[in-house]
Amino acid sequence: MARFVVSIGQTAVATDEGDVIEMIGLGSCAGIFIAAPGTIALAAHSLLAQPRNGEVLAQPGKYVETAVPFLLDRLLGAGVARARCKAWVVGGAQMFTFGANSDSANIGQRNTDLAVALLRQNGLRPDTSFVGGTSARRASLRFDTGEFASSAGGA
Amino acid sequence: MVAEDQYLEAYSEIANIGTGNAATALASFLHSRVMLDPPAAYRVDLQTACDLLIDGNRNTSVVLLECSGELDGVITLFLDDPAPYLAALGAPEEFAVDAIAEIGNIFAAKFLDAIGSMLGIEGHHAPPATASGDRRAIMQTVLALASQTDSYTLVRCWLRLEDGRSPAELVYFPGPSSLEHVGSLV
Repeated sequence: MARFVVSIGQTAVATDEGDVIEMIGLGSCAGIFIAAPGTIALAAHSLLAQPRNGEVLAQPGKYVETAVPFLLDRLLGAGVARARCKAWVVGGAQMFTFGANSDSANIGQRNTDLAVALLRQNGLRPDTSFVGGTSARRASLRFDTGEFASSAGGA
Repeated sequence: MVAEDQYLEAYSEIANIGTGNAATALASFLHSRVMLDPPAAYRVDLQTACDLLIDGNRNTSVVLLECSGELDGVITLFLDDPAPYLAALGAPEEFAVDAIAEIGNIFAAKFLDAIGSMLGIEGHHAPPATASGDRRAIMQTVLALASQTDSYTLVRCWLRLEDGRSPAELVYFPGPSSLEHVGSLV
């Protein structure tokens, strides 16, 4: 039994009874959660949608584009049928008030839009109830039951 | 190839002059002395940047300026307790957000002017963006906008009002062009 607090750019894989995966203070990042209750629970805390040119990819979790395939590979490795899985995308908040026409205002939305699109392309139907807004969230996923919770606030 | 520590030392020196100029401008704006700690420069991976910049869970107010041109990058000023700065300015509560944006704007613009002069380059910055709330969540947008490669180069400096209270934190993430110009000086 372990509590995995997934920091920015990290991924987590839970395979033991009592394991809980958590993300605290989710802002513009995308929190991506996948669960096959009692078999495997996975998550990634992605900072950006896609890598910029020339970047060395040390952490697959840093980008949505690399995090989703990473999580799906782990799912495949556990021999889980995707039809059994639940998925959630959380975060993508606009934390800053930017000037008009600033492209930076959409940084969070780009993260969660790509996460949702990639999960759907791979046969999952993520719950997007906890996406957007202007404030921090926390989220947790229980390995045993696949019970997912998200609430406002960073603490 | 420039040695890493030599490079960071050069950046700290340049930032030291930049923050000195910026503090003078801010002191004049606030009609209060502003004290500075010497800046420190780092080159760190994402995880270390998180550990360095997100120390615990607390609320903060922040001003962010995105800079482009030769003097590119992202500059932020964090005020965990903006009230004394607003009081020094005589800003009423309803103008707090605008006043914080102006404080950040003045400090950051002077900082950039000074380091631009030293490096012989120019840049321009977007209007200040502001945020208040959970520092961990706010920092995600800062790190996302500042992300250029697999590591972060950043300069960090603390300033305080004359009574020593209410520290504010400047964090500057130079962009690729700024980094190249500093590299050519070393």
